[in-house]
Amino acid sequence: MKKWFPVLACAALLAALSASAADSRVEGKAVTMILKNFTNPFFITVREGGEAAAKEYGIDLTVLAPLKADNNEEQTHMVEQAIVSGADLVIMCPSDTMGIIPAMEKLEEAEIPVINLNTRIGGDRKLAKTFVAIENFECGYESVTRLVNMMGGKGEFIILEGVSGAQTSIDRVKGAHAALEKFPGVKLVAQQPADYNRAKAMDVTQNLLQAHPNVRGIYCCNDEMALGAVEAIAAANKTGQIFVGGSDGNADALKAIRDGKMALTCHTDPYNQGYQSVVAAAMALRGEELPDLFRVSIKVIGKEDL
Amino acid sequence: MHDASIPRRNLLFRIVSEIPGVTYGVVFLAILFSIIRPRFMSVNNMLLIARHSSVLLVASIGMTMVILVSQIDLSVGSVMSLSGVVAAYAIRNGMDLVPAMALGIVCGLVTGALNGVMVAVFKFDYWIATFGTMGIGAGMALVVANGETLAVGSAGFGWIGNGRIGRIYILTYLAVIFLTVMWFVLKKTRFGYNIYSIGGSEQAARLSGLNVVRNRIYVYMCSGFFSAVAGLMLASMGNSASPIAGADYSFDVIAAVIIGGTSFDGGRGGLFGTVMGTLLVRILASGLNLMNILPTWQKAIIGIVIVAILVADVLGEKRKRRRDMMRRYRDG
Repeated sequence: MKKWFPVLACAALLAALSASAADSRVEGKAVTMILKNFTNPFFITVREGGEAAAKEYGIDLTVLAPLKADNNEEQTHMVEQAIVSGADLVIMCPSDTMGIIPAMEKLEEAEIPVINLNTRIGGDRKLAKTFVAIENFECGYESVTRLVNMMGGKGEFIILEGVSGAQTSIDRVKGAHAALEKFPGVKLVAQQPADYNRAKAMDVTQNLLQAHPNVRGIYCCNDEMALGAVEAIAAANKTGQIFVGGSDGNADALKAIRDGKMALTCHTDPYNQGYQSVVAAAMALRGEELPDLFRVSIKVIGKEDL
Repeated sequence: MHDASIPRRNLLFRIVSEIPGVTYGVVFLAILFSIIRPRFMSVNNMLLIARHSSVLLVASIGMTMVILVSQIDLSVGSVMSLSGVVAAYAIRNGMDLVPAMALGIVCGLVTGALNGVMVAVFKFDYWIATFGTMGIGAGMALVVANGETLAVGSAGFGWIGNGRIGRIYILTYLAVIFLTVMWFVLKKTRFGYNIYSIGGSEQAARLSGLNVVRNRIYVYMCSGFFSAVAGLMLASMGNSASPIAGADYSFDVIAAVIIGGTSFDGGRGGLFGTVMGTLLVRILASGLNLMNILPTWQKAIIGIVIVAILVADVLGEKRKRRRDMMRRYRDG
C-alpha cells in the first residue's frame, strides 16, 4: 500500500489541478441575467434560482430587470451596458421577442455568448447558445385536460390569454386548444387577453361572467390572472362552482388551491428555470457543447398533490 | 433678466445663478458613481449614456416648449408609439424608408395640430384635451399593429438606431442636432421670444399684439413633431415597433423637463435644463445598474433624488431672489 501512496498523491494532485482548471474558466466570470420584470413573483423566484446556482459555481452574477415592467428599450439598454462593462456571458429573457434582436446581434458582434431563458428570442437566426425553458404547449395541454376532466368533460369554457402577442401565452393557448379538441362536450365561449395581470383579469372575468353565466371552467395563462378570476368568481358568489386553472405555481396560487378556490396550476418551476440557465451558462463558459433546448420539466398541481 | 444695470463684476455670478440646480446634481452623481465604480467614467459608458438619453432628449424638446407656455401635452408617449407603428407598417407593406418615416412624422404633426386647435382655439382644458388624444393615439397604435410588435427588418432603419459614425451613435448625433437647432430657435428667433412672452404673461403678450392662438398651435405641433421623431428613433433601436413602446414616456418626459428647472408657471427654463434633467435620470439608471441595485430600489432612489433636487432648487431660488433684492437696495 505504501508504494502506491506517491501514485495516489499524484493522481489526487492531478485531479485537483484539473478540477481547478475547469473551475477557473467559470469562477469569477461576470454573467448578466436580464429578466422581464420584478413585479411578477415568477421572476423573483427565477432570480433566486439563478443566484443559488451562481453561488455554487462561483459566478459573479448580476440580475437586472426593467424599471418599467416588460420594457424592451430598457432591456436593450441593459444588454448594451453589459457589453460595455465587460460581461462574459448574458442570460436573456426577452420581453419583446422581435425588438430585442438588434441587441442580441450586438452581443454576437462582441463575441459574448447568450443563454436564452424562458421566452424564445425571435428571428430566423440562432443568436443564443441554448434555450432554457419549459414546453408551454405541454403546460397548456396538460392543465386543460385535467381541468376539463374535473368539469366532467362538458360545459362552457373560457380562456384568459396573457399580454397580446406574448409567445408564452400563444403557446399555452395552442396547447389548451389541442386539449379542448378531445372533448366535444366542452364549448369555448370566450377567449380574451388579460395581460398576465391580476386586476385586469378580474375585470375581464367579471364581464365575461355577465355574458356567460353558465361557465364551468376558466383556463388562465398564468397564476396572477387565475387569482384575478378567482376574485371575480367570489364577487359573483360562484366560488367552488367554476374550475379555475392557472400556470406558474406561485405561493398565492398554491394557497388558493389549498382553500379550494382554484382547481389547479401548472408548476413551471421558475426556481429551476433560473438555476438551469446558470448551469447552462457555466457549461458555455467551459466551452462545452450545449443542446438546442434545456428543458425544464412541468407538473400540474391540484389539491390532492399538495 | 437682461438688466443692464447689473455691474460687470457680477457676470460670473449671473452665469452661475442661471445654471439650473439639476446641473450640480448631475455633476455630483457622475463623481459619486465614478468613485464607487471606476468603469462608470469610461468613454464607452459615457457614449452609452449619451445614446440612451437621446430618445428621451428628443421627446423632451417639444414638452419643454409646451411647459414654457405653461401647458402640458400628455399625448407624447402615444404619438411615439403611433409614429413608430405607422412607419413600421408602411415599410412592411413595401413603402420606402424615407416616405414611411415621413408618414410617421405626419401622424405626430396631425395629433399636435389637433391638440393645438382644441386648446388654443376652442379653449379646452389642456389636461383633458391631450388626455383624449393620448387615448386616441395609444388605441390607434394598437389597431395598426393589431396588438403585436411589428418587426421592420430594414437594414437602413436598423442602422439609424444602432449604427455609428466614429464611436458615436447616430441617435446621439440626431439628438444633438435637434437640440442645437431648437436651442437657437428658442433663444434667438421671434418664435422663441414669443413662447417665452406667452409663458410669462399671456395677457401681456396678447395686448402687445402677439397672435397667441397661432403660436400655441405651433408649440403643440412642435411637440407632436418631436414625439414622432423620438418614436421613430425608439423603434429603430429594436428595428421593430411595439404599439406600447411609448406608453409611459409622457411621464418620463414631463419629469425630465420639470427636473431640468422649466417651470409650470411658464416663461422660465429652457432646453439646457431639460438636457440636464434627462442626463440625471439616465445617469442614475446607468450607475445603479452598474452597482447591481435592484430595480425595485432604483425606483425609490430616483424618486428621492428628484425630490432632493427640487428642494435644493427651490431653496437656491429663494436665496438668489433675496440676494438680488438686497443688492438692488444697496446699489441704488
